[in-house]
Amino acid sequence: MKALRTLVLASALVWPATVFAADLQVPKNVVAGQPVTINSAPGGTMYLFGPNVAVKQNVDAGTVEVPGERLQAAGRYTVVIGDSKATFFVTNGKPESIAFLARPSRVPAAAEEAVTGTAFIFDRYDNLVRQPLPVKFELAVAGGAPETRTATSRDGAAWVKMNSGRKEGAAQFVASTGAISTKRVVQHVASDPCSIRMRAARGNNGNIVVETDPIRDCSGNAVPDGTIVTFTSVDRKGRSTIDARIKRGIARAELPASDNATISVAAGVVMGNEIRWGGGR
Amino acid sequence: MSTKAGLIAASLVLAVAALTSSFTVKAADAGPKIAFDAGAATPRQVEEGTVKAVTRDYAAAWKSLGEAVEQNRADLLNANFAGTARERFGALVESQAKNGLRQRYVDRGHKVQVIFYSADGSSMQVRDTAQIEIQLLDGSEVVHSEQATVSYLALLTPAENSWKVRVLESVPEF
Amino acid sequence: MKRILPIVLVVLAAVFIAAATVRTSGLGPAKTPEGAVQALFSQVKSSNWDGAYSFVATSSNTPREDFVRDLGGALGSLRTLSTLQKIETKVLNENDREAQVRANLTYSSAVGALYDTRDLKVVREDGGNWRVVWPVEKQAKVPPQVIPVNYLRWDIVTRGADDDWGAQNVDAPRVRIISMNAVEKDGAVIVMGEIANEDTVPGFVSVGATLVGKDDRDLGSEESFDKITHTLLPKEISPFRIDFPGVKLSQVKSVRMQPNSMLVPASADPVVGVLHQTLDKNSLGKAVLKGELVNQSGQNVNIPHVLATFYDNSGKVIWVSDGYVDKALQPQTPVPFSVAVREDLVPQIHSYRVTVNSYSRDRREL
Repeated sequence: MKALRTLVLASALVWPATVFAADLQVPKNVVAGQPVTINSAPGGTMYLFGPNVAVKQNVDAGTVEVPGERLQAAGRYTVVIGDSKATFFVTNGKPESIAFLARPSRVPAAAEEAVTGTAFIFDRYDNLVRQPLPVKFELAVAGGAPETRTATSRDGAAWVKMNSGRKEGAAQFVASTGAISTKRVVQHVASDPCSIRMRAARGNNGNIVVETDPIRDCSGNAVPDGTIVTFTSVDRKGRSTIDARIKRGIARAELPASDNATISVAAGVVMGNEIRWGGGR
Repeated sequence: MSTKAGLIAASLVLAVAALTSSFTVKAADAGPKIAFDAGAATPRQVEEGTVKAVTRDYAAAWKSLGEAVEQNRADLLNANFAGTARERFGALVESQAKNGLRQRYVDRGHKVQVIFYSADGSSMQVRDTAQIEIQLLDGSEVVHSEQATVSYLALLTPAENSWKVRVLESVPEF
Repeated sequence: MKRILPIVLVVLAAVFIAAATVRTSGLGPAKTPEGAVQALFSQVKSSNWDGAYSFVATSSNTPREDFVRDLGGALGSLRTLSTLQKIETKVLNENDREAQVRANLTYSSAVGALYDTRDLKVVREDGGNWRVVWPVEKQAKVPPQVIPVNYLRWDIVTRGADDDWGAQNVDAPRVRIISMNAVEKDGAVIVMGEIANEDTVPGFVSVGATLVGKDDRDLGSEESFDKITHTLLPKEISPFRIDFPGVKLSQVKSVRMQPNSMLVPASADPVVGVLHQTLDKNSLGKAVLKGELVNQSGQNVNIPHVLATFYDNSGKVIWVSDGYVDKALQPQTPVPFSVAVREDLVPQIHSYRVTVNSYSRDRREL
């Protein structure tokens, strides 16, 4: 129980402790979460101020022990016992977790450097791991070849830009260093339609039924259902438009009957083929 | 001292006190002086508007941190800190209050250099060299006071209307 | 004499009040064609449908329910939510037996004033009283049927408040302003253009604009309000128009555009076809873009809102206008629409595009 009565300090010394009138002897290296022993300390009231802790405690002269749970946060600590003082640093421990920011959550397939990943590496006490570490980033859609890149962390941060895959689907984006890893999902979606082909036929009620072929992007991915496809018919009665939705890969609409119409199709800014219906067909 | 001289002296004292108070309030309102250098930011350059916003919010964070540890009010941290930084400084304030301790920062300014600004703009890491006078108090008694140059590594992330400090660690050196 | 004057004034007041009351109730027979039209609409104004119907000519062969539906609206349409405010009449021609009277009607509604112009035939019937011929267009009834609707619906699961930092949320849809044009019309600067949802998910979009003056100070900021389609499905394009009243274009150095988008749950239903769009003149000789709306889905669209974009021969957006249709769109039933076109722009209009916002009361919350 002497350890409990006594107190705290620890010490790092990558950085020289600030020189005071009477310096306490603190260890040169203090790793987060490890206890520290201060030798030859005077007795009296001890104060310990750290990034997340402020302690006031009476200690006996001699050896003072600071338990590890008071030294979990990396940073600058100041200990004062009577007239003796010291400042020391607690540094990070081993990597334990990765905060992984993957952007965007949706990305068009086959887009260059469209996916960014930023990894922040922390120890078990959420201190940034400042030592340079190799961080591996892997992006893969099920069934497709993964793309892998490695970056070296600096002050706990590593980042990459990657190309999206050619295949649509939920891509697993994994950042790892050593045995630890964190996974995110980057949804790969079809890009703009590569081309739109439609055909027209007369419906039972005389109307013109227009229907596209399956609409795909230039990598062969199906453009998602719900995407707007606009059919336009122009004849002597005027212009008729229907914003159809792609359903099961194709878009379909019923335009008003006409004996001589020009029919066109578009999705967003991508134009499809044109049909002359009736006289000019 | 004659009555007249006494009145003049009293007026001068009041005037000086008023001026001093006014200056202090203004300085406190603005937060500490921040020299912000975004020239080395990578992989993305920091936009002019973002420089202004981060400078403003980082200064506000230091101001609120100083007030929180002096008044032992963790709620003052909410507007400018998030995540680990909020938890840690909140714990510091709590343990200070429990032990009747306080800290007083006399902030003399920060040289801040951006070392990382993520490509998507969702995080920014800075190195901060701060000139601070730190006083450690037990009640109203100063148990330790020092002028220090402290190096900080900070990680900031954008919130709805401002940038918040998510990590603020003092480090031995850069 | 001192007593007589007040008595006379009281009597006169009573007479005037009585006269006014009689005129308001308007249930006496109409002695002029214009009087018949005025009386009919004043009854409509006070929602006295029996009174209004009493001024409908028997030769109209219009059942009362059809008459009420035509003037009062039905199926939660905008007309059911509006009130007749102002009636202006003008006799176009008249003889002993019949006349034609133009009625310019102004309704107030939640979306602003609605205007309706009707040229009405008025005939002298038994007893020499004038009544209004009110032909109601017979609405084609949709035969009972099942209309399968299997359009997409997008739901969203967002990041929880207690998730780790770094756990990504779903991004807002990518939207882009694909064209923009600023003009000065009628003492206002008008910023207009088109915005596209380039993503694969629906978005709730709005467009803001800030006018920057010659001295680099902001002259003002406005939003597109209802001159835009707010919910954009993937690859959908909407026009937008933002008005800055009281600003001159010569005061403006630049315009700062701010497109905003939010990921929202949405449904791909309903589809509304816009058929037979033509530039034409209305009965007042004003330029209009008119056509028909057809609801191709299975549920009523209570309030259709038409947005028209006009382009010049270089494809630049030169005007955006809109209009609310005060009839509900029943499934498969064409409903006419028309939106105003600026006369001064008619020679420049090379093409146009019409889109429809639809508000459905009974549709389950999206």
